[in-house]
Amino acid sequence: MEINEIRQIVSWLDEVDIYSIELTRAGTILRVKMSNEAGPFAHRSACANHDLPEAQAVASDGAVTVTAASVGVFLRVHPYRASPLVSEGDAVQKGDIVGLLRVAQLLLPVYAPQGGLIASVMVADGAAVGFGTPLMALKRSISNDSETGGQRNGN
Amino acid sequence: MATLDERSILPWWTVQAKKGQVLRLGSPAVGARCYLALAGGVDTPMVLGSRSTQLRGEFGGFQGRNLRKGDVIGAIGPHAAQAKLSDAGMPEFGVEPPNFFLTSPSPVPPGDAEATVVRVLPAGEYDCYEAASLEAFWREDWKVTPDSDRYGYRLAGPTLNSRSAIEKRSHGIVPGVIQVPHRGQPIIQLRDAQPSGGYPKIGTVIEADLWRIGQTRIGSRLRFVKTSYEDALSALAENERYLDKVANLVALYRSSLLTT
Repeated sequence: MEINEIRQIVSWLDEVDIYSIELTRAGTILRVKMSNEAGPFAHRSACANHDLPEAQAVASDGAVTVTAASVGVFLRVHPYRASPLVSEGDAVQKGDIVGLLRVAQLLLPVYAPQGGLIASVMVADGAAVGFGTPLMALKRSISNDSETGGQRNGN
Repeated sequence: MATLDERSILPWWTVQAKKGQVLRLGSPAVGARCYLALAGGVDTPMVLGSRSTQLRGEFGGFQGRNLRKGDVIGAIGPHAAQAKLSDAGMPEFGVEPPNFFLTSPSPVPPGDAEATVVRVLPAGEYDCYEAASLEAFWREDWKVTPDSDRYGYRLAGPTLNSRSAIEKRSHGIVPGVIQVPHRGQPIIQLRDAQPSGGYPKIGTVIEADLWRIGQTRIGSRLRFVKTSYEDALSALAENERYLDKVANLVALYRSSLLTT
C-alpha cells in the first residue's frame, strides 16, 4: 500500500469523524486510529495493541478510567454467570478481567490497567460502546497498591 | 468453575497456559459437562476417524478406557500460524455460547423454565400409541433418571401405552431415537447409541438439539416439542451458521493480532 493512499484514507477519516478503520487486503491489513485532541480519544496509535487497553486517562489522584479498547457491547456479567465480574468497591489486581466487550460472537476481555478498587461502573450491562468510551473508574487502594500482584495470562 | 493456577477462567474461553501451570476444572455452573479443547487436539490415536473413547467396546481414546489419575496425555499442539501467535503471547478471549445465537424451541403449553426443550420428529411407531399417551408425551416434563449416560438417557414420566403390543425385529437406530420399552418409560439413544435395537420408536430428537440433551443433568427435566423434517434441517443449518460464524470471527481476530 502506497503512503499516498494511506494519506488519502486519513484525510477522509478526518473529514467524517471516524476514529478507527481497518482495511484488509491480500497480504495487508491497515489499521488507522485517529486522534482528536479535544475529544475523549486523545491518544494516537498507528495500530492496536492487544495487550492492555492503551486508552486510560490518569487523574491527579492516581485514579484511572478503564476505557473500551474496541467498539462493542459492554458486558458486566458473562452470559453464563449469575454475578458481575466486578462490582463497585471490589479490589482488583492489574490484569484482572473486569468486564467484557462483545463484538459479534466474540467476547474480548477488559482488563484492570492497575491494581485498586472499582470506584464506579459507568456503563450499563449490555450498552453499546465505542473506542475510548469510559467504562469504569478505578482508584488506588491504600492497603493494596498492587502493581505486582496481578497475574496475567497470555503475555 | 475453572482456574489456571489461582486465576479464574471464564466459560467458553481460550487462554494460553505455560509449562508448570495447573488447570483445575470444577463442576460446571451451567449444563452437565464441560469440555477442554487443546490446540491441535488431544494426541491419541485416530480410530475410525475419531480420537474419542468407546468405553463399551474398549477402543479409541486413551487405551480405550476412562482416564485415571496419573495418566499423561499429549496435545498435538498449535499449527504453524497459531504457533506464531503463541510465541507472541496468545491473547485470551471468549465466544458467546450457542444458546444466545440459536432460536430455542418453545414448548406448548409453556412449562418450567428450567426444563431443557428439544425438538422431536414422530418416528416409525408413533401412530401405535394411545391418544392420551401421545398427548402426555408432548405435554409433560420428563425426568432424567440416574440410569443415564452417553449411551442413552432413561426418562421417567407418564406411562406411554401402545394400542396393541408392538413386536419388532431388531433394526437400525441412530442417536436421538426415543425408544419405548414395555414398561412405557422412554429411552433416548445418545452419542454412544447402539447401532440397532428392537424397541418401538415413538420419536427422534433432531440432530440439531442433541447437544442440548448432552448438557442436561441427571435429575433435571426435558420437554419435547413436535417439529417437521424441514424445520429439523433448518435447525441444523442454523447450528452450522453459528459454528462457521465463530470460526470466521476467531480466524479474523487472530490474524488481525498477528499483523500488529
